[in-house]
Amino acid sequence: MSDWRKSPVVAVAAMSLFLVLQLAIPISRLEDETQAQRFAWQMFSRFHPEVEFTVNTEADSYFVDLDQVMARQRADLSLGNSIPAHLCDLDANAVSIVWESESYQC
Amino acid sequence: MLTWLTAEIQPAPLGISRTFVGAAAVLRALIALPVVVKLSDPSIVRLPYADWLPHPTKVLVLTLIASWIIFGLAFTLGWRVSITGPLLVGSIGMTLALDQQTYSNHLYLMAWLVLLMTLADAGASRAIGGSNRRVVRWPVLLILGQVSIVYGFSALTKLNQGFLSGSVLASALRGGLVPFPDFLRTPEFLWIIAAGAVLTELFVAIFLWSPSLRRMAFVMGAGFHLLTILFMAPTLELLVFSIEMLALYPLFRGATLEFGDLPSLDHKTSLVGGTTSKSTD
Repeated sequence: MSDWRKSPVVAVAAMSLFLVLQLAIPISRLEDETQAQRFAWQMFSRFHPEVEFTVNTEADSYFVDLDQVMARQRADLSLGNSIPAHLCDLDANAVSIVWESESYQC
Repeated sequence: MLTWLTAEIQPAPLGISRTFVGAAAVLRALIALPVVVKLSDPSIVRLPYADWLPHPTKVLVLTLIASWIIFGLAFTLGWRVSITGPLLVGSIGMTLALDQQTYSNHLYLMAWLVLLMTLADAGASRAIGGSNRRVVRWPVLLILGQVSIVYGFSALTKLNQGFLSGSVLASALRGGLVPFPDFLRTPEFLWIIAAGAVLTELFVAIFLWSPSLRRMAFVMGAGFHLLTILFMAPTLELLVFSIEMLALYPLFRGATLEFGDLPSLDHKTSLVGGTTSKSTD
């Protein structure tokens, strides 16, 4: 038995730190009801409509199968910040990317 | 109170819990493997938490998963838990830090559990070379606190219109081992399931601490996890989550606040021994 675990000071400090971390983070993330949040134990708690990305080229347009460009789809990811630029990189003919009511010029 | 927190308790339940959590960690590594390997493909988008984090090359991710499995096996067997525990936390933590796409709540939970079990000296029993030494109560209480926090916040975050209306469950109750019957897929029945899920999680979060209602909480929690495994997807990940949580239930019996065990301020010294012997079932 290590002596440090029997120290009341260590016990109080560790328990306080644990509770602060484990309560403060999830509580701070309760407010946003639009999207599931990480590190907050929000399992299957929010409705997450699938986002469809369309790549427009000079000649035509096509829907993107997100499983082909993502390692894993998750409700807590904000795809609009990174997927459009990545799709432009993947297709040299892409002119713009459209999703929901937004668009991104390549 | 401090005497009670730092009192020694029987190590066997913690050793058993460690075995199951370690096994779940090894299984989870196999689930993570295809995801992290896919991350090393240039056609896959990268969602790093910070630009300075290392790029997930194939060599890096395979090394990471191999380390995770090796440390997970050692942790399961209880071999040098004070070393293999932090190394396992490091492997899981690095995987979580690689990219936002590797996150999952039960993986994040696993990192916490392994850390707390290491803190609790979970290699004290049921371990290779273990001496079956007693463990201190407060780190075990942190593990129990973690259980209630997970169930509690999971319930609280479900208190929204989308979940309580049943629309979240309508899409979640697909792809499980057993197809959810279509004739039950009505708004009224989905509302009942949604409300039941919230109440069950709250009940388990609170009453695993209660000696008189613990058995009921145990049964409700086990039933809840069984239903999620049967009717929801991804099955393997839900299985890992269920193992993680159910493995911790027995710890409540030996380490929780049995109010009669609390040493009074007047008789602190004389009751310390009694505290230890009473609560170590």
